[in-house]
Amino acid sequence: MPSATDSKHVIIGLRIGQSYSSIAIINKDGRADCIANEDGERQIPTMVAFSGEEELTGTQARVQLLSNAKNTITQFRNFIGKSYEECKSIANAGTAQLVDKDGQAAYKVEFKGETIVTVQEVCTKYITSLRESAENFLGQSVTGTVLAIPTYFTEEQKDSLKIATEKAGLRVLQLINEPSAAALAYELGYVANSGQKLMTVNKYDDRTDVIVDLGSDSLDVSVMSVRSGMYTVLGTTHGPDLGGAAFDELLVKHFASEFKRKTKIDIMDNKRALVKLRNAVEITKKTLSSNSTAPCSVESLAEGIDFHGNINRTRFEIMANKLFSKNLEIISEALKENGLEPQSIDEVILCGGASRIPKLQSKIREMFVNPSTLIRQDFEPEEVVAYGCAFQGSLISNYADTLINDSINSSTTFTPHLLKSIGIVNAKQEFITLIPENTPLPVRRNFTFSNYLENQKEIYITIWEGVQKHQEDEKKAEEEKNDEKEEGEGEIKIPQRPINVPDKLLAEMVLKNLPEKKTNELKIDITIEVNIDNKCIIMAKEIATDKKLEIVIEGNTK
Amino acid sequence: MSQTQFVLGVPPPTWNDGEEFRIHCGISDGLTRNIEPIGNQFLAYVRRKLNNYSFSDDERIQAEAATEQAEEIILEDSEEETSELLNRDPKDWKEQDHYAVLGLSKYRWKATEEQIKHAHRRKVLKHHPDKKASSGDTNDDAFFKCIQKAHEVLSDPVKRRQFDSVDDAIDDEVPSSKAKGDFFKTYGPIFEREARFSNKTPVPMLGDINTSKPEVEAFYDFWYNFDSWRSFEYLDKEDTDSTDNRDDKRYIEKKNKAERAKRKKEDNIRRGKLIDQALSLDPRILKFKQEEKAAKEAKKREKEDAAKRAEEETRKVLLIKHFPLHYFSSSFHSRLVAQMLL
Repeated sequence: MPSATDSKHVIIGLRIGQSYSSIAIINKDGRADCIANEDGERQIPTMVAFSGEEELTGTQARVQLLSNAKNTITQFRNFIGKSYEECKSIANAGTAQLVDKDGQAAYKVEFKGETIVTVQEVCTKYITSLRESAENFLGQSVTGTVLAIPTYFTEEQKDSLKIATEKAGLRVLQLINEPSAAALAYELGYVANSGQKLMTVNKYDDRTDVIVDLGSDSLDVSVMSVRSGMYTVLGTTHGPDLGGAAFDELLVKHFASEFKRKTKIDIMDNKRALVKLRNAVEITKKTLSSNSTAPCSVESLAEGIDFHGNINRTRFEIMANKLFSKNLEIISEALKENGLEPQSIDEVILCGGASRIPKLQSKIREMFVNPSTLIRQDFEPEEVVAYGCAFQGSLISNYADTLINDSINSSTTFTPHLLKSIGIVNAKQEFITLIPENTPLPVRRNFTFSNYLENQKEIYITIWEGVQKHQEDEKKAEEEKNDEKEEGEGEIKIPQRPINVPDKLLAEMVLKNLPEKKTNELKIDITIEVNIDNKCIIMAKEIATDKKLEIVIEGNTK
Repeated sequence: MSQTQFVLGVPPPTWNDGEEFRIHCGISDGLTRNIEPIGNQFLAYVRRKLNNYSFSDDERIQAEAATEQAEEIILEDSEEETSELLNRDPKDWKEQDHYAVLGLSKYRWKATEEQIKHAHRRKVLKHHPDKKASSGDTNDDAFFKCIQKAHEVLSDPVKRRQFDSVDDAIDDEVPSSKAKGDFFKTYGPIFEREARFSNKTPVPMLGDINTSKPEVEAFYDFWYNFDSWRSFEYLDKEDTDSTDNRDDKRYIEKKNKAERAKRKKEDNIRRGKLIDQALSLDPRILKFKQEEKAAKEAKKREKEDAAKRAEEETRKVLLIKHFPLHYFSSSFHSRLVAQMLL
């Protein structure tokens, strides 16, 4: 993996979050790492503020939020490329006022007189500050970036963000979806960052991933099939108002009522007090993820009275129970929409800061009962998306813009996928998946088979299309150990994982006059290729004698 | 994955002997979806798709590219090893040309760390004593020691700079001021050679006759304030490690230091002389001076013209004052005035 500073192209990975952003680079060891801004923060608040003659961003904007709320712009990411009408109902009250500028969303601030800044301009200012932070850190000018965007961004939003980034002096190599970036970070980064090998399910690395992104303002669950290193998003479910902020809100309510009980002062209508409390509970929440109790202190919360409170983890978990269930509902909904069940998932990737909540993690673990399902949280969940961007940036840093544009064009990425798995039924009457369903076409794979009997002179190959079935339905077959992903014999008792069973016979072939060998000593090379017209070419070859047979199954011409 | 699953049996008894295969039906039509444009495999997919390669085409092309690259690395270093070089005594390593030992003499100070690493590995593989012993060659490991010493010096950035500072293969000569030939052809390479000692980068280069005035000025400005890392430790006559006596050590160190300072001073004087000479011979400076002179003269002339015109103006005004307008009604008068104005 070339590092960020190796070549003359310095590429950074950027994730602009609704509340926090991060900048990732590939360092000299080929690992992805986030870099800190000038204030030493790796999680840089997504805020822009105007204070007197100065423009402040990130940590500095956050520091003065309380004293200068009406000139501070927060939570602006999702408004880029949107009209005022779309945004006005969800605008953040208490900070800079959202106004209408030629139909676009903009903010009114006090900066050298009254000024209207559009969301795009705000983004440009913010991204410029991120670029400068990166340049200060690297001591080198940054030329380009790969940006992560939420899956629900529209084309206009993507374009607008692209323009804002280019105005900030960064060449946008590519925009990639946040869940895809997270998945890529695990694929490319796992070996580089942890030194361990990523558990591969089989030779061709086929797996089905669920990416749970618990951001500050929403929960996004994406189901993705990974086939030979190619990623296809099967579906995304968006749960607005279920992110980390919702947990904060619970704590705010809790502490506000505690304050009221102690002092008889109701702060629920006191915007200033709420902002103070919200800032404080965010830290309380983070502490609760590692400690069993956490304090919450606000100086002069209302009417000059200080507030000191405490909460323990159990209490918080009881309060948040409803929220947890809602989160899990979204996840199971996402699975259901794609006809999948928790046990057929190979990997669950957690990202977003709120996914650190221990109870939520254990609930997710409970949901994916199959012990072979991996719950991945090895990387910092806030940073993993930016890592993915940095890796992608290092892959394409030497590519010309036109080539990148051609490759991300939908005419290139839009391609048929296999509907059902294709496999071979072996001598033990077991179905062996060669190419699983949802594999993008064209595809070519290669396997080595062997003889079952001694001195076998003929080999019989049957090519089948398979369908998924539950093992309970297949009791009569009692082929417990043969499941879709071929877990290996050590893990025979995996419960209820759907397996592939032969459904439709596609072709039979016989390889004749083979040399006489002992069991398992014949080497038969089988190459299967499916092209985009559903034409399937199967070539069987005995390696020692070079005896071969090739057949072509034409696609259904409808 | 258990390999025992990948076994195939014999055809059923109903199978006709003459038959090789039967095709029953095609694959079910799939859904068309977007693949995510990320990762290595996607790049391979794009390569095939945009170039219309099949899997086997692509494999072949990639393999060809890989072998080409491998060949390039081998070709890179086929410098001859002269017998003189091979028979060097490792003891007088100070006189040894480390670049030549590693086969990098055409790169010298331009050789990258990567090249040095590769070159060292290659030479070690060739000259390792074990290898020589096995091939029956009983030659001692002298040259191998030379290689190790060369690597030790060149792989350490500090030691390498010390060696580069006194690299004999690159001459320090300042050309005679009376030497004939194109100024840029003579001095360009010299400045390029001297630039390697600069602490500051990038170093401005000489340029050509068309280089603009500010650039030329910046060039001489930079070179007159040259910050050099050149040092002369490598030429130290005695090593401080050669004695255990503290006083001796101090004495040697003091002597070495004085020697180094002296050489450094000489070097700075040498460079100063070079720049002075270049400045005095630089055709651009001459050109700029002439241009300046011309500009000055033009300005002066303009000033004079302006003064003349102003004088005329005043005369005209005076005239008009003394001869009111109706005097100019006839052509005679106007001619008269015209004559007076002239």
